[in-house]
Amino acid sequence: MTRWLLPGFLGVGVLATLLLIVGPALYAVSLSFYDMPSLTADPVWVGFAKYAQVLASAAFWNALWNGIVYAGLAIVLQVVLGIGFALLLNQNFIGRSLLRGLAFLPYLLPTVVAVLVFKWMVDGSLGIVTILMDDWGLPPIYWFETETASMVSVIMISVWLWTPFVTTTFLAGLQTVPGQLYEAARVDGAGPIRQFFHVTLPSLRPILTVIILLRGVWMFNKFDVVWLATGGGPLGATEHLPVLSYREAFALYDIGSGAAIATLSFFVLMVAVAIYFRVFPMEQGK
Amino acid sequence: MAEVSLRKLRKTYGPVVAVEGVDLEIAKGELIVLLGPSGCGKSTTLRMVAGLETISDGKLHIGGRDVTALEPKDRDIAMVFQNYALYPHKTIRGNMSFGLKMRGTDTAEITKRVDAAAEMLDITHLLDRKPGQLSGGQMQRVALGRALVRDPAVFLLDEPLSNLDAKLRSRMREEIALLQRRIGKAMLYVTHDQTEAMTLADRIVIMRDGRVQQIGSPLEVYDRPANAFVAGFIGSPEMNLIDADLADGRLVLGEGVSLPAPSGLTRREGRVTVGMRPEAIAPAGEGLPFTIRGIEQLGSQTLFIGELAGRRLRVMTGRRDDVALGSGMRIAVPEAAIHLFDRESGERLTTGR
Repeated sequence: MTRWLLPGFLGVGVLATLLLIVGPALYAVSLSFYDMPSLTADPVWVGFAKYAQVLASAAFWNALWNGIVYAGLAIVLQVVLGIGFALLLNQNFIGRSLLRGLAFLPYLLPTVVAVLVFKWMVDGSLGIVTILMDDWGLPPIYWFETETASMVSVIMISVWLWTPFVTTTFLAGLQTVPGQLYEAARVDGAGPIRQFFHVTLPSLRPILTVIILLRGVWMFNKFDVVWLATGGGPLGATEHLPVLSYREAFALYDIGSGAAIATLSFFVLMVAVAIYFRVFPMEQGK
Repeated sequence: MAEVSLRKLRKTYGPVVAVEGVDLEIAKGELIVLLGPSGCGKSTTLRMVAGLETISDGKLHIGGRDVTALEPKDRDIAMVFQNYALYPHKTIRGNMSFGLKMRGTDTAEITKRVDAAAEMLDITHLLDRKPGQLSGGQMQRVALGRALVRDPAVFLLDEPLSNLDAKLRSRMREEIALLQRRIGKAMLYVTHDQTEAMTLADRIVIMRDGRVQQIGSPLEVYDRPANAFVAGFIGSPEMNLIDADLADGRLVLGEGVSLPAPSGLTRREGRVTVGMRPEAIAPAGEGLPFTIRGIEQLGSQTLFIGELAGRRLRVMTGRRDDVALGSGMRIAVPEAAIHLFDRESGERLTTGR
């Protein structure tokens, strides 16, 4: 009985992974080698033709660049703000536990709710932000109408939604730093800023490495915020690889191109992660 | 002129008084040990001197300056923490240099001082390692070294040896004593280990419930404990403390068992506590009846645990008699070995000597 227990559990896991992750992924990759003008059409083998077509298109490079800008800025802001809030929430003040709980709330909100609420708030005629700005005599901001503004908007929504993840993780990490290290630093003459750079940051480096990696991967693959907020517009200003892949496959019914973009996106991310591990090794050599 | 002077130092947390009116003068080159059970306020006192706890009331002077309200870095102190508190991501050299770097000392001077301290502590070969690669004893040396390079007016050590095993502890104890004599600086050392206090201290400050019980050299507090608490805390094995009644110049311990009261008493009668050190009691041909209940062989000495007039008593002797449990013997207590305390207040009742 027990002889088969371990292989049994393992087998279920392996089977589920193969069936639900590896299988579909391989299938998606295989689709990129076919021309398939609709979901019901018979696929025609075209080799790397779809890749050549995608790599030659300006839309792909635009989407790749947009993805880097979106993910890059969103991560930097999330990490900087997240650490800042974590440090604030680590101070002693009345109502700290309440605020710590509240700080996590945005993370629990479904993306669609956050995006729709944001869109209502900045709505051109009814939005509270628009009305207030008008009352104060400020010029209107075209949140989703100009290219720069729409990129800023999707980044803002993303930062608002996922900074709590960084805050909470970092705050948890802060509890593990021995208090005596700060006391030693005080005796050594380090003020709050030097304490942060000489005690806090080095102690939490492993946590920070993981946070940035996770958030980076998630942001690069994030589909829903952009799709719901701008649909990639205006004029492709916020279109990144996930949106482009979706548009090619399910709006233009070029399944092969969509699959090729997704596969390329996967390789880009893989290379980025490999470089990241090189620069910031997970295990510090002792 | 005292290097460090604590004047009526007091620490309160809301209504709770943690330290009450500590007065202490530490001379240059003097090693003072703050001794007491956990929660007695010794660590809080040390941390007030360090500047890690604010001083609720009283004054603190270091090197003739009033430092009561100053930050730790401005007090001319260095501290050795119980868990060493070495920066785990810095090399040993980085750890030892950090304090000087923060003060803007120039690089050549830092290198010189770190090298000198490392040599003194025999840790030169460890300078490029990280704390995680070091043993407890080595980390302890580095922590000492970090304090040493700063060349402060006073060294503060918070139970520095409590994380080491017994053998290493006694060796580091000797080394700290040697080091302190060599550098000739004032040192304030906190411990709950009375052996550590006895062997290291120039003077011991014994604390209890936030109050100083007695300040004196190791032999002073051993020979003339100011109260029953100090008597019980200093000395190993512990002093026997037995309730007795003082009447007609005799100490009545129980039915038909009594001792002549020592001379120089501040009172003639009343309820008292008699203190007798186990090593001051000797088996004798005649004397008080003592029933043996247990024997602990310590090699050079034998500790008899038993009863005197129904009270637990411990007797330490150099003899190695093979005595059966439950058997009786006679013990003699020299008058000079009797300490007498008031049973209510615990205060010492004998004068002179």
